[in-house]
Amino acid sequence: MSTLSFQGASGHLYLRGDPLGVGATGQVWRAWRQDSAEPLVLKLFDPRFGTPTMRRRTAWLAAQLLDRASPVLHAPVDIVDGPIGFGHVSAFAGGVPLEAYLGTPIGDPLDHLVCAAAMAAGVAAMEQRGIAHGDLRWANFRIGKRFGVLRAGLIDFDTCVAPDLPPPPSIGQIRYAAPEIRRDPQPARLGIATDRYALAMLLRELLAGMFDRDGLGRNLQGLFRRALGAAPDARPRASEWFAALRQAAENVHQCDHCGRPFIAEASTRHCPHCVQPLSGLSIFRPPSVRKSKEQYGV
Amino acid sequence: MRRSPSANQRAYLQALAGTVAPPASPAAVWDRLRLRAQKRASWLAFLALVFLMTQLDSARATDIELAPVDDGGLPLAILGFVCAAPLPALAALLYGLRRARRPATEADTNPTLEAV
Repeated sequence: MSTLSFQGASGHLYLRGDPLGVGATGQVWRAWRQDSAEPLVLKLFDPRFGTPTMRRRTAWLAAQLLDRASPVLHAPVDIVDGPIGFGHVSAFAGGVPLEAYLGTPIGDPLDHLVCAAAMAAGVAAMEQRGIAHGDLRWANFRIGKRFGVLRAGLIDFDTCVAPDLPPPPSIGQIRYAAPEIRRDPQPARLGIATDRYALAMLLRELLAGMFDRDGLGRNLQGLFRRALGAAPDARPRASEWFAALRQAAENVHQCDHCGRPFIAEASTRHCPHCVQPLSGLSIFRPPSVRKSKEQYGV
Repeated sequence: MRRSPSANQRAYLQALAGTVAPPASPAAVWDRLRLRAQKRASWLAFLALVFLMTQLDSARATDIELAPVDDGGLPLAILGFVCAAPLPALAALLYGLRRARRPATEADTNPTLEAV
């Protein structure tokens, strides 16, 4: 492995390692901080993308410190502009792309709900700052299991959208484009509403392999209906997704009879698949109430 | 059979929750109410004054016979009622202010944040 030392705009020294891949706008390399050996990713833009607009966008993005806003966001932390080229340095995201993960999933339904909640939390942290990722797709979510938890990491913020920024150079992948983008594919139309649509598409892909429609419960079904509809204003915020998925993770059941997973709600009395009665119906009753009823022989 | 999240999964979700503002929490509602009240404080003070004046007038006109003393002044019971009337609203406002501050304090002192 050949290493090359370079300096960021912040003054930190880094080491460049092996190339990781080539994207549409440049090449990505493994990198480390020279003093702490913290694993990083270096992206060097193709020279034709080193425009003043792109430099302004990259500098603005690095100044937002999005990596501190959420553990899910692996956004640029430093800018590189020197003999090795123009680009940025981001925190390294372990795991594999969501696409590759779904090919051979290693998690169970509960893992997937926690991971889905993490994806929503990352987008919510950006939403709160008025920033849209602009290119939410399964290649940009890295999934990996660490300490027994399936975690998500969001990468590639080069097409981010914010009110203070000029529009990004491209619109991202059309597969996750909202209906209004498909009708009129212009980067200027990207925004938080189109991010919400793409997030719902990704969550559906992650959860569809584990839960069918009935197993998701009415709350999540309702969110999906709103999110994948044509009305941009009706799409649920990422924080709504996070709240719903976090609650769902606390109420995952696996039917004792058919073995299929489902999310139980307060009104759930039967397995939605085989209609067998649930065992342990009392889980939704607060312990204090249950105890007092037992005391009084109810 | 219920599947409960493991301790690590709970810690991860808890750490993420610290980065996401709840969609419509009571704290946010109270924050909005407090901001609106601050914005219209002068109007609210004027309306409160008018309300108190109307109470005083009606008390003088109708309840003078309830007075324990006959000195022609405002009866003590009516005065007490008028003074106590805004207390429930004030208590609700104070409760809301305390509640609005609580989540931020809890998130700052959450020990699981460092573990993830």
